[in-house]
Amino acid sequence: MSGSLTKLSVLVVDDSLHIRRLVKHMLHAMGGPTLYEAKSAEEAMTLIERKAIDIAFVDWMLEGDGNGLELIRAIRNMPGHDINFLPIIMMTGHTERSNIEAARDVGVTEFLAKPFTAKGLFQRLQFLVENPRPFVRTRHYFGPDRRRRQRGPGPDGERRRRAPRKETAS
Amino acid sequence: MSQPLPKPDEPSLIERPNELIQKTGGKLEPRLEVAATAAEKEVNRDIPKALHELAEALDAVRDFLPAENREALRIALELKSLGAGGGYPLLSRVTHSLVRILTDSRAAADPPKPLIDAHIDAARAILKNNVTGDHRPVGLALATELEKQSEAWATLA
Repeated sequence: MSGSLTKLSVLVVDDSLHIRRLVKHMLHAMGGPTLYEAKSAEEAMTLIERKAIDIAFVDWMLEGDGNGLELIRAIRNMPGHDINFLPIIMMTGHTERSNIEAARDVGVTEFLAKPFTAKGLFQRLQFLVENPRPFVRTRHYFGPDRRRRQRGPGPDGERRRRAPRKETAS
Repeated sequence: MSQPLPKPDEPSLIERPNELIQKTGGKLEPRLEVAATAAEKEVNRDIPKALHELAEALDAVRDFLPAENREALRIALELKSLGAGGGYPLLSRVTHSLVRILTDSRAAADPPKPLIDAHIDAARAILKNNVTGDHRPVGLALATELEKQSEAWATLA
């Protein structure tokens, strides 16, 4: 069966009008999910609290005081919400390794380095839909499993002394 | 709605039903990528106009550094991104070099104004002369020299 985006609600958080327009046009051309836009972390949180968002695209730099990392940290730590598990694609021109690691550590699901193409955006959506990451909870981290390469055969016993115990969440 | 689980002492892996594939009804069709690519081309036609507007905005904040560092960085990042996507790789290189300066913590206290000005002037010149591609020797030399200078500044003790 072929999939389409029409039943999804997507939030695009970026202070750049051009980037918001680009993502909006690409998604619209891909079948038109319900789209919400925000320029700041504050606007994004308001939408997240009021709408049933399925996927969020978040830029690193946002209008106002907050940035994308702080927004993602807030989403992952919202108490009592399924929204903790929201798939988040970070769009950023901050592609230095340290920045990518910092973003992974707050719970980014996928990266989309700017400038991005329609192909790149489509591939990230494919990952989210067809290969979703389980979530990991430790004392210091809650977010998508960051060990994509190690998935499948199981955790590497040499590198990880304790395998995560499994939970299911509805 | 599920409640957040108390933080355990040991790591736990949380598997959830794949709600996205339930909503999409299956794997995404390849034709969606084709449609998105056509939309990308349409939107990218407006990039030169957006780049000129951003370059003007960057020019306007340069006299207000370091107070406007964050705004300058935001504009530089967007020029870098749009420049690469819109066929202006030398603009992207110059603004990447500028981003490197503006993200250095020393720039917040004591910005290297001549070096920043040189980057902004170069970005404007690239746009004014419509330097697309990366084969024009003057533009190439300019971008390379600015990268060298920002590298030298970054490595200053």
